[in-house]
Amino acid sequence: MFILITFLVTVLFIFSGVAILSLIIKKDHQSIVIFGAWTLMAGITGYIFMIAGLLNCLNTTTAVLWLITLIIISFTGRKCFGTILEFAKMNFSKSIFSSETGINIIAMIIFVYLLISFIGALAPPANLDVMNYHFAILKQCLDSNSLVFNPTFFYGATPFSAEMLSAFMTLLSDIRGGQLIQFVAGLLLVFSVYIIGRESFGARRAVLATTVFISTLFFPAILSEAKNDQMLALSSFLSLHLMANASNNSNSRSLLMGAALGGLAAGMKTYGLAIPMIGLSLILLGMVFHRNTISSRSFALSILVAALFASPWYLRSWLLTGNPVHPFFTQLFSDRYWDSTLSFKFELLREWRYIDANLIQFLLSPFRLTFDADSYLARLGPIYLSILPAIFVFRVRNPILRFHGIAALIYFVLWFVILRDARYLLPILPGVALLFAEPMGQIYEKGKWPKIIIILAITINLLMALVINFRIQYQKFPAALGIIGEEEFYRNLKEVDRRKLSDGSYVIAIPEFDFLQKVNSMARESNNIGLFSYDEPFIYYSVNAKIYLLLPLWQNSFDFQSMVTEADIGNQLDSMSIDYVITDTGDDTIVPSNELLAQFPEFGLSLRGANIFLGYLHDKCDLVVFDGKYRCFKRR
Amino acid sequence: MEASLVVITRNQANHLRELIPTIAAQQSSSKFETIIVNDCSTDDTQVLLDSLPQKEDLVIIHCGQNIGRAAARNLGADKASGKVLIFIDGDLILSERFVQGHINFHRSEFAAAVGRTLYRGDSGVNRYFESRGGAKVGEAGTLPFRYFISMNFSIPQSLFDKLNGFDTEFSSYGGEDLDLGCRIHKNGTAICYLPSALATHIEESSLAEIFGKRYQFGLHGLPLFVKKHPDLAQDIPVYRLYSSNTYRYLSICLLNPIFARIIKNLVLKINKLPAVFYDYMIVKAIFDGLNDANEKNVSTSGASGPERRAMMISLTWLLLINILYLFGFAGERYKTALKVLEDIFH
Repeated sequence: MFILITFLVTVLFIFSGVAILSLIIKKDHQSIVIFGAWTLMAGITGYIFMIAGLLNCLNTTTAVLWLITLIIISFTGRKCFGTILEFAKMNFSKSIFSSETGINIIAMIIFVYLLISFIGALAPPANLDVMNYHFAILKQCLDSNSLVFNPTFFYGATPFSAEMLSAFMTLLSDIRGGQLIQFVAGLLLVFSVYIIGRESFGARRAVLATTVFISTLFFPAILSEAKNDQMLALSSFLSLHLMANASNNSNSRSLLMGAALGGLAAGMKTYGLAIPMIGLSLILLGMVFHRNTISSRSFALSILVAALFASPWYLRSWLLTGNPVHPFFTQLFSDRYWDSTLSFKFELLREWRYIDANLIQFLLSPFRLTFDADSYLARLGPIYLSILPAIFVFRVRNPILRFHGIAALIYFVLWFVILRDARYLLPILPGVALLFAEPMGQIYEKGKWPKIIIILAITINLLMALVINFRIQYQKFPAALGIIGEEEFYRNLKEVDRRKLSDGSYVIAIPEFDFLQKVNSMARESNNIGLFSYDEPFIYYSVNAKIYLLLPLWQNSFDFQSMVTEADIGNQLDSMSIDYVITDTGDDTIVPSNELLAQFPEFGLSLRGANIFLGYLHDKCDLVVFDGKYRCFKRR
Repeated sequence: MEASLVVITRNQANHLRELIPTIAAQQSSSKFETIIVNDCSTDDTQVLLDSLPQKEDLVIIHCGQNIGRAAARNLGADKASGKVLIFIDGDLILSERFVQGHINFHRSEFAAAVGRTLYRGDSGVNRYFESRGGAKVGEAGTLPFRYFISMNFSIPQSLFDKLNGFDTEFSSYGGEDLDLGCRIHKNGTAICYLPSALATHIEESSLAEIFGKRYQFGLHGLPLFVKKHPDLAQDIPVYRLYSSNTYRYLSICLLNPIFARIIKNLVLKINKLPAVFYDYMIVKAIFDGLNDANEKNVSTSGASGPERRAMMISLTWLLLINILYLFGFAGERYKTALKVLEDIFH
């Protein structure tokens, strides 16, 4: 059922989006308008449900009303139906395959790849980030029919449009519908690379670009999951492509639409802000150096549009925390939820996860991104590095590709300075893939052997990505196809060991699953649980009761520093109506070590409070569940 | 008639007003005629030339359509009756003994002679041009064929006829003189530098025009020359560089658009720069022309030399990275290698 609903919503997004955009952009047959229509309506849906959340109306009635609205908008634009159907017929029937065997083989592998991801997307959400953050907050919102803000949650006030889209789908179907719509965004991203590429640069380069893009080795891990990266990448790619077109032909309508989609990208994730900033900066430079004839008025309007589409989440964050980009750049803004604890967490994250940002590392970063999954938490695979020199020795003259190239370069520098997580490169990779397809196409056309080598290289890369995709997805197949239930699925789920990414070894993803099931059998939904643990992800999503984080050095809603006696602990737990406490006290990141205390003396008070807290659990609570690592205490 | 002075001109009426008196003022003991070929000028060149007093030793030819420099010179040579043909462009002014200098040379030598040309105006690029070509050889001596330029040269008419004059296939700027110089060289005839045949170049072209002409040379003239004389193509330094592996590295390091723009701005804004800056801009313009010419060729006739090299670099790198990846360079082995690299950097 959720597949049908997702399909219906997808069609309605396209039809209603095209109906709206046809009022603004005349050429409604352009592929970018079709993809832009879906993205625009998905983004608007995110904001509709944000407003619904603020009005405490995040419920099925709102979802159904919005669905009816989409149907009405689509119906008013029914004159565009023929154009859309013609577009679909033209792009998805006869013309995918060409007369070249090599290209046809690649197209077949891409099809299998996408099919595997599609089946994987039908399984229950399995990604740790999704369960820890994206759907954990979503679940809280849906439980309370409102947009919750949990100050103890690290990403409690960040942009959330993509998740609100999932909320809409979850309300119409179930959580898997919320996941599947994100897969649709990823699928449209792949299609947009192919179809926009074909429209602008020919079928051969389009297939090469699509191959380069989906050969990105971390992409399979994102495509079928309900992270917001697909939505962000889709809106970023379309935004930059529209701005590139606007820069090339000084089309102010393209610029406005590009700015709107850029604004939507910023509404998906904080780092999405970079997309409209880079795109509009390049447009401005073009204006200054007379490379385009866009008027100052159009440019100012596009800034306004981008700000309009981006600002709601940042405004909310500013109202809630005093910092529009909470929990980032806290030194610039007076963030009322920022304290030494969170600051320390950031510091720890940096030390633990990220390599230094210096020139040497910058120069080495293409190699690290290719070979080493540990440095940037994922790897691109060899395809990008292997083609990189070709874009220099074969001059790329197409101004649209140059725009993508320059935007990607600026983004890459920003990424290296600020983010340094390979996954966050996804927004620029579709444009980079189009750029890289140009010299590949030139080599391909130089004769028989170059053609064979290119086909061979990209087939190998594609097969590697296919194998990785299969390895990620195959364990989801039984649950996706209804052979096993959700409980069995989660109990046996495996994931790549995050501490040894380069090895690619698999470990049980949710070792605490049975423990959580036992907690669930005792704690009701109305109960509140205090979590004194580092392993927060699945507890957040899988435990039915409401969770409060009680982490002395991490996200925290408990004032450990002012706790002097066990009575203080009891009083504070009473004030928070906490019934159960889950701990995994064996982890030394929870209780400050002596070394840490020497470095950050302010944690001494937290340590005292934490020790009193542990004493309180021992004296005043009953251990009700214990699985060797995790303990669940019930307050007397 | 001992010599014929062949002047070709196109839209240079102002320059002709300066040139013609210097022709009339030639101190020559020998008899020579002047042939002016007006290559379909659209300014008042025709009016100016028609207003000149008719004389036996002055022949004026008006072309009905633009036939190009090579064909215009050939046309002038056809009408010439002198034993020696002296070719000049219409934007020169001649020293008093210019014609006599050329004639004297041919009395003792059977060779082609390239006269000395100065440039009016004290701009950096003029000083640069004055130091190029024959000036590098210094006092009268033999020049390599690549230094043969047609704005100021002389040649025995018999030799010119034997070589069938200029190749009119060179219809745009540049290349026709290089081709003729090459054929003179292949004929076993020397090309000499003749400082006594002194002329001054009047026209001050903008840098954009100068580089634009070099681009045209790279786009049309040089590829045609290479096609006609593949055996001597490597004797042209700019082409030798272009067709070497070094070029691809240069194009990444020095010939990329950003660096080129910096140099261009320097050249435009600073009057007197070392010659290397002008060399760079001229070579870059020729390379741009060659690249564009190659792109046009490639679409119909497969990869050209530089394209093939670019392709080989790209494919070698592509295979290297993929093989490294496939054969387990990733992971711990890579990290070890990276550590070594980091240590070297530090």
